[in-house]
Amino acid sequence: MKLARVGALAAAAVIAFSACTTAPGTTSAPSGSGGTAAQPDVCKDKKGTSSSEVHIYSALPRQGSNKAQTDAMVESIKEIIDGTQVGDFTIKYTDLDDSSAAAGGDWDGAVAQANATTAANDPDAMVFIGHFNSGAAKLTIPILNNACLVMISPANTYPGLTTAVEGVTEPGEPDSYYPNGYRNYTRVISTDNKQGGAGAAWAKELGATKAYVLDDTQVYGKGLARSWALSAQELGIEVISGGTSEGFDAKATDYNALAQKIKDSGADFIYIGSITGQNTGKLWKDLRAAMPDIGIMSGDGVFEKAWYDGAGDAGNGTYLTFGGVGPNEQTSEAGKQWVADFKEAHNGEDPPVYGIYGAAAAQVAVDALNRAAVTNDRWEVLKAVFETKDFESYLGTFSVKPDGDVTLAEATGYQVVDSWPPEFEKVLAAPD
Amino acid sequence: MDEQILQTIIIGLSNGLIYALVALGYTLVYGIIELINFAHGDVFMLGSMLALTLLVAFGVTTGADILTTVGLISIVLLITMAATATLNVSIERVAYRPLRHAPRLAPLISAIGMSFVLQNVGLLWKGPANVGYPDVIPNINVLTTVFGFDTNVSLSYKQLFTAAVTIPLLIALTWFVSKTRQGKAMRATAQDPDTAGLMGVDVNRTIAITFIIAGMLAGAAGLVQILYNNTTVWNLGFRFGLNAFTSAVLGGIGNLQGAVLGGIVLGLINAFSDRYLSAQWTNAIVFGVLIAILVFRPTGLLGQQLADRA
Repeated sequence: MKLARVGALAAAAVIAFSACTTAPGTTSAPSGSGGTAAQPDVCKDKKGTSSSEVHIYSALPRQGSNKAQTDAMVESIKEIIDGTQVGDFTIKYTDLDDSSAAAGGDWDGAVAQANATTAANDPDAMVFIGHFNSGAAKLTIPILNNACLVMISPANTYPGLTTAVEGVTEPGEPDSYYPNGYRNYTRVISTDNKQGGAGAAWAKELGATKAYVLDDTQVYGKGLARSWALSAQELGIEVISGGTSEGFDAKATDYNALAQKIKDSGADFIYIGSITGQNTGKLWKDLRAAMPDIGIMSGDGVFEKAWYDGAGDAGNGTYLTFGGVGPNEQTSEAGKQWVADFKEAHNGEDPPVYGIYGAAAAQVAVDALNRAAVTNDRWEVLKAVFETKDFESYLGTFSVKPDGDVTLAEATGYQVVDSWPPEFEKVLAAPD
Repeated sequence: MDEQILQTIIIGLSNGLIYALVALGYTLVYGIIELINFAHGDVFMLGSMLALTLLVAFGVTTGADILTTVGLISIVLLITMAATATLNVSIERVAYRPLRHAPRLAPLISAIGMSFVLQNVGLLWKGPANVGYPDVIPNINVLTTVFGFDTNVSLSYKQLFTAAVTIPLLIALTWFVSKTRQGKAMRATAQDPDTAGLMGVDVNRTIAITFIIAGMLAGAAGLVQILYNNTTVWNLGFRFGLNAFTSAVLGGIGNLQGAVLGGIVLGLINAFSDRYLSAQWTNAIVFGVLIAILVFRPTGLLGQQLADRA
């Protein structure tokens, strides 16, 4: 039966296709203690073997639509870290790529896990800087938790990696990522619930009354969209996409019918939680074609030129939020200097928004290595990272909290006005 | 009829016609050599990238006068079809012909391999993100501006354009396969290549011509796609390929009219699911319908076979 075989192949194609999509984790695990008081068993005897070197790895998507962001980050991390002397040791830095061509240059779970294993198996590795995408961090935090290796992410904004937020994070999060009970993950960026909340408050100011919320079904996009939807409802904006967000299929050929549905629903505002590589160019085009004047807002996942190149004119007018402070709005002297130096080295070009966050992650790593009681002991370095307090960085002064988040909580709002980069509108109030 | 339903039907039909154009390529090749040419969707993707490049190079932009625009689009169509036909026949020569007598699985794996190669060519050529192209064919509602109807339903020139390209191509293809000498050779090869060879049909040439025609259709679909959807991306072939291949199976693989019917049915299911259910469930619904149809009608909606058709 040829046709039966063809049918089976079609079914196999669907299964393979579904396997490529990422579902949010729902596993439960022993509850984490938070903080770093007692030394867990997995952290005993995790000392380096070299008498002169300690190693720092970064794992970021080094190809694809995020390349401009990660080029700026790696350039800065390298400058701060590579060859720097900490105590009796010299830091050797390795730039790993957690993306693959098969994933279209976006993060790839298998590659990210391989990166983490590489670092875990190197006894001299003391810090792991990464990832760019929250979905990748979900997979590697447990691996590095078993290896007692501290992570510092410059860009992960999904709240569930560090804290439970009702209606946004999955059951069991974040404890499910820490199988040994202690925390080994920190980040130098604010979380999506804050960015989403700030975005919703801004939308309210812009006059939104009935909003349709879409997400790309990935960890980051869904988390951000849900955060926005929850805050919007609290602020009195009616969320007509079932009270929360509706997933769109990133592999769909078009979104005309979806756009028509949104138009017919009477929505006066659209919020989209997504990263650029999820067919956003086509989504924006179809939404704009059906609703030329509707307000559209999105988050930092599309805050890059590659998104605007794909969306073209349909991207004009879009409000973009960033869960931090953009390069030109940095207020600290060190931050301003970092931006000026970048521009000077790149023919006056603005740095991508996350560049300075990569630099700050590297600063935290070097500072912790300098303060650690034993420079080449993973547990001592991990403790030092978590003990970061009133640290003066390029991003201003901040401390690392016991759950791994930092005390920075600002968000900023921009609007695309006929070209890239978007224009800065205002600093947004991130809710508590 | 309810305006929303009518609008959804129009969206479904326009998308369905593009699926159909790609599905014809799958069905033609399967009909002749019983190979699911997984690389076909990627030839279509490269066709859309080439069309985009040529349209930009020729300066086909919004607001140019109609005659110049139509003339330039026709030239782009011819160049794209020639290029994709050459590519497709080269793939046949390099990746499929040497495996003609190998076990069935070998050319299938070879096809999947070609698909990855072509995807990576697309990735290298235009990068990982969508590449946009402006609306050259005006997105104006014909129903209100030309016919003066008082309606919220929109039927644009772009949607009419997909029909204007797909329907004549289908008619020409059906005529070619059923009425010409070469078409007769194709049908004979589909039925029994060995006997056809003994009767004087040049089997290799006939198969090559089938790949040329399938490649031309992929090129035409690529141009229609870029003008209708205004964007292309390296994995477009996978997105459209899955839908087009499903259309071909739904309609009855090997059956030209079946591929078109399958494409239209699939376009409508997609549009209705996106509109009335949830976009994230559309794939599950499409393949649920496919499985149901194959269970009750294993040969698809219009039955199999290039050989029996005509």
